[in-house]
Amino acid sequence: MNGARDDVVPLLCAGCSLGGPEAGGELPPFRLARGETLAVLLPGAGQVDDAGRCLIGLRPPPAGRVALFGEDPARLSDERLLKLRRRLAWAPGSPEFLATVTARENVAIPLRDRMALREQETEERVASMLHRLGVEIPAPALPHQLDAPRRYLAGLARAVLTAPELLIVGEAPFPLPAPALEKVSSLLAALRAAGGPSLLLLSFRELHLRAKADNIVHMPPRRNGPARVEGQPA
Amino acid sequence: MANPVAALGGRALRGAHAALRDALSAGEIFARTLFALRGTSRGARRLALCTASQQIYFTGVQGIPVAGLLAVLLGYGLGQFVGFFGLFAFIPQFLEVLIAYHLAPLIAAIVIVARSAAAVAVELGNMRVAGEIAMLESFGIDPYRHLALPRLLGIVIGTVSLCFVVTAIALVSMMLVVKDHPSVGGSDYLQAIAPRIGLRVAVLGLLYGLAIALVSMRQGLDLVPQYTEVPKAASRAVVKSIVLCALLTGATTLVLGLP
Repeated sequence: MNGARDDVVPLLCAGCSLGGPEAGGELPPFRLARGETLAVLLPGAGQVDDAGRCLIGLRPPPAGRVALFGEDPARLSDERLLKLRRRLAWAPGSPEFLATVTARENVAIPLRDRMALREQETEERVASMLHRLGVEIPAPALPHQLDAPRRYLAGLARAVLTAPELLIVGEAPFPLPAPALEKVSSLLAALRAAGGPSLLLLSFRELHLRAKADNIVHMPPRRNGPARVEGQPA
Repeated sequence: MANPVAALGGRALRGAHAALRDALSAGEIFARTLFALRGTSRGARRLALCTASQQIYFTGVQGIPVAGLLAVLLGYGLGQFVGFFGLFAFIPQFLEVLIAYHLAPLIAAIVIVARSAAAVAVELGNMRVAGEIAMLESFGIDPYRHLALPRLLGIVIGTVSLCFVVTAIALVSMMLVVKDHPSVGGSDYLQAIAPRIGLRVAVLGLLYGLAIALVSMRQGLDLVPQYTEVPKAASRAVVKSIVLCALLTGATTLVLGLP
């Protein structure tokens, strides 16, 4: 699937104001090429999930234009938008879960939806990914019974498990424990090394980003402020 | 001073407009739910059908004790009524027109409304407010397939089944009350149950199930995403479902007629 349309970049952001007027400045135009890792440094934690929503078409960007795999989510029908989103996965900083099913079931939902795996294989993949991220989630635990770091890691596991072409990872709005941070870093590094998905990191802390990303786009703290791009922006 | 006729007319027009809006929205939910399985993966279909079977259990099976008790009371009361007034000649009419065509399916529908309509509206409403539906959409999961379709199937199949169960229990309950009277033998009583009753009960169950499912899902899915709106949506789902079921009973009688 990755090589199906090599000419189309997974994500193109044309001068977007991602987080709404309160978020501050506009992003410079940027594109995320296939297999590339790009970090967008946002002014604050509050903008991380807002930016994610804008990028995947859950809400229109207040300004500018987003193109996912060559298509503008704001102009697509619901059916085509859902189809487009099945090519990507978003792990927000504050992930939502279905409250009435267990946390492990929640992690498995997109995987079950996208792939017709045997039940045992699905459970094994979920357990393996959670183990890889170093997160212990008892089988009967409901999402509200998890602390914030485990919720964040469960959300990340849910996204990575779907084997997307584009993975958008929002930074947690709280500091992750050092071992968890290390596990996340090594998972993302392993995905890159394996030629995995194009990776977009939405962050508000510059720490660690330099080592992870090919390019960094700085979003200015105020509207119309100067934007900075490090690396080789498109 | 405002003209009361004009005020009444204006109110009626607003009510009709709201009803039309509700009907259009419910129609859209129905269409999107029906076509939700088109072109989806085997895993997605399996997930939807698994949830649907759970909904059938919640709606149909778990409702049997309450609905069954009401059905026993209905049959027993009508049996006592028939015995007290000596209306044995009218037993076929009591069985068919009163129990099978009207009261028993309506009792089943009211139990479903009380148990499931409010629950579905609250559950979907809370999911809308908490961002759970947006989460599903962010993964490309169609909420109409993942949430609406199982509930539609569960409520429709559960309602049809419960209509049959309640009708059967009410008929048997009435039979047990009147069976000892010399003019009513057990076999005569059973012969008075015409086969067409089954078809009518199935039609009523189907209509009630569709109405309850669509009304409750509309209230849950289309609400303004604020927690204060959720209890209002639940209340609206219950009231509108009951009114619609009563109207459907009348409409079915008008269209299909009485024996």
